[in-house]
Amino acid sequence: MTAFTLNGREVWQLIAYLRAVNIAKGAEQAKGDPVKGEQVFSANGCGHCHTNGKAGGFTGPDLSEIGSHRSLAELESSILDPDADVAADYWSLRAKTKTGQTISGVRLNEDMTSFQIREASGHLRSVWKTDLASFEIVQTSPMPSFKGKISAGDLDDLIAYLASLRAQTNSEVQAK
Amino acid sequence: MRSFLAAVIMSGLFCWMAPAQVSFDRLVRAQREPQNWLTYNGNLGSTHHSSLDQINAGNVANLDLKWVSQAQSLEKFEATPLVVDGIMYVSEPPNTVVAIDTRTGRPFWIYEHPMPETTYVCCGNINRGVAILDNTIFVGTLDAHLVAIDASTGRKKWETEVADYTKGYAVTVAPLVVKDKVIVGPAGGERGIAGFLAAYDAQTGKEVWRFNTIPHPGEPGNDTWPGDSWKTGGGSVWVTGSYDPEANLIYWGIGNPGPDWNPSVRKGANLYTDCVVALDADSGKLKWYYQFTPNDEWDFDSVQVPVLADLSWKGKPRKTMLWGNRNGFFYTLDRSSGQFLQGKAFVKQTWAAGIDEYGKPIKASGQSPSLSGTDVWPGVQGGTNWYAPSFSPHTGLFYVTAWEDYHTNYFTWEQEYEAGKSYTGGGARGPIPSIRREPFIKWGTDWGYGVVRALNPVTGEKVWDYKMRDVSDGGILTTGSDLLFSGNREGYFFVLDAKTGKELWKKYLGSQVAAAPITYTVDGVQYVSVAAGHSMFTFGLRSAR
Repeated sequence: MTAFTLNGREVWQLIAYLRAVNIAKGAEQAKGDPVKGEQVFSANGCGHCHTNGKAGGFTGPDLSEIGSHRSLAELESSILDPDADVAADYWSLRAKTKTGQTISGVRLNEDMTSFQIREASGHLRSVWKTDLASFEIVQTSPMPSFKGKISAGDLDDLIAYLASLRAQTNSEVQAK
Repeated sequence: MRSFLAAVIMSGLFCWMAPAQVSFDRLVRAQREPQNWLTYNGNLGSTHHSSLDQINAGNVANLDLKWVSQAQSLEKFEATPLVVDGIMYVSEPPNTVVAIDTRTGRPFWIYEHPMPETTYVCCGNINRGVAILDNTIFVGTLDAHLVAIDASTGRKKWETEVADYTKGYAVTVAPLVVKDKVIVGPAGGERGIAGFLAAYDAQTGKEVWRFNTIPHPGEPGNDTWPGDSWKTGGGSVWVTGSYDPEANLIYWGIGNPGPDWNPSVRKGANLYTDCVVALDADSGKLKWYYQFTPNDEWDFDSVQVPVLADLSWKGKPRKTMLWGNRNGFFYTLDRSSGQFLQGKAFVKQTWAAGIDEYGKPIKASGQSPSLSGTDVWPGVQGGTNWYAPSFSPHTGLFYVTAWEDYHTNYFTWEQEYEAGKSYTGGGARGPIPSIRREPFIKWGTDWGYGVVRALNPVTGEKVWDYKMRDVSDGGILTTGSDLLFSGNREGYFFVLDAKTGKELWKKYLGSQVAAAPITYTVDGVQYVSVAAGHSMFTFGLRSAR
């Protein structure tokens, strides 16, 4: 095999594609019923924080194509133990200013002088590090664990539903 | 279980809480919140004027660079940003939208629109800006889509196809939000498109109305196009229009007819090319139009910003529209009726012997493009172009960036239309680059030069000039302290006294300014931002953090 002259972004696109091919195969082995799983998704208010398709909230990750990027095991882990693997995009800043104000939000950006965060209200905000008395980067998820809070059947259905949320392939797009 | 669900639901409700909403009411009253820059031209009347006055003639010498945000693309940065409550939203080439922290210049989020391998734009991968309504940012794309983006997260909410990009359509214009609709139209005047303006539901992206800027068969004005020539008639839309809430009218400038330089295949007035159209905002129905250059032969797009100004006209208040046109004339129209009030050349021009009492130009002889070439003033980039002019209610003057004593040699050829390909029917020659600056300026000023020109909107007379060496694509901002901010192709960003044109300050930014500056406050302190080269520069007084 010859060496490819791909840029960094193209390399990641290729990796994502290969990963999606394997994950899509795994999704077909889901035990649950994706139709019932959508009801579980709805009944548990997941859409308040997650987008699936055109509807949903923006606080948590967009799940519209999650089935293309996560295996069944990874989906289960995210539901039962959300803190196990939190992407850096969703790490939070928790800080106290020198005037005693508490600040928290998703850490969107950081450099040697400042943080840029999105507060729970959706407001974008920046803070100077020199204005802070203390701060910590929280690498856990604000999402509650569903362990013991939904039945095994509902869990299987929910996983099957999430696994069904996949990016369209070229042939699927062309078929429309 | 009940308590868990309640917690989740409460958590969900918390998630749903939206940040401060930019209602349409706020857009209508944008001039009352000068701390923000809520629309492409600062307000729906497009005066590109702010009442902010912290930076003034007495302290402008202390103006200092605060931050630079470099775009990821090396394409020309032609966008004017918005600033909402300390967050700057701007489109970088080709269609990337960035939310920038105005305190530091660092991004909160970046939205990248996936692009097809090939696009069919004439003049570079340009995007001129975004619009906002509630918590949604709207941007057009070079593959002729309109995209709605959540302002908090940068995630796409919806996307709709405006036109087929493979046929030469692209959206480069910053959208205009009116009530619950988002209005855009396609560029492509050099690609044989048949243009239109369309309004889309801001919530869903569904098309609500469409006005064909090239009338289709059965529509009024189609008889100004012989045969099937309307199908490739151009009438592009690539600079943002204005809105008068009292009249509920949208005003928009329409691009050149196609093919640009061979009118023999489209004999007639070629409506609504080179027009300003006044449309009912709810229905898109035409209320009136005024055509600046009927049967245009020189690519004199009338896409300039319609500036709405309430003037004292012959002793009585009058709602007017001010227009520095690419054809070299400066016009004042009654914006309620479209009545022509005055028109006077603001740069050297040779294509018209004058304008009659009804506002129709009288074409001069011997000025048509020819096989061997014809020298015409103004040249192909016009007396002015897309970059924003400004009207200051303080000084009562209209300010325009002009290309003075500028000409090119226009030539024509026969050409068959091919979808997506260039369809111009000729071209224009001259040493001054049309689109991008070059590192060296070696042509003589006899080919043209740039000026910032102050005009009396009632008489059309020149009040003062600020002369530059090169031509300029810089837009203009005026402020409540009677300062005028602009930049130029030479790479300077400068401040003038808006009353006299005296230069008060300037800084070399190293590359072309091809957009308009804006001003706003953060934490009560005034800043000015402008795109130059492929970066966004922000200035404030030295005492500011």
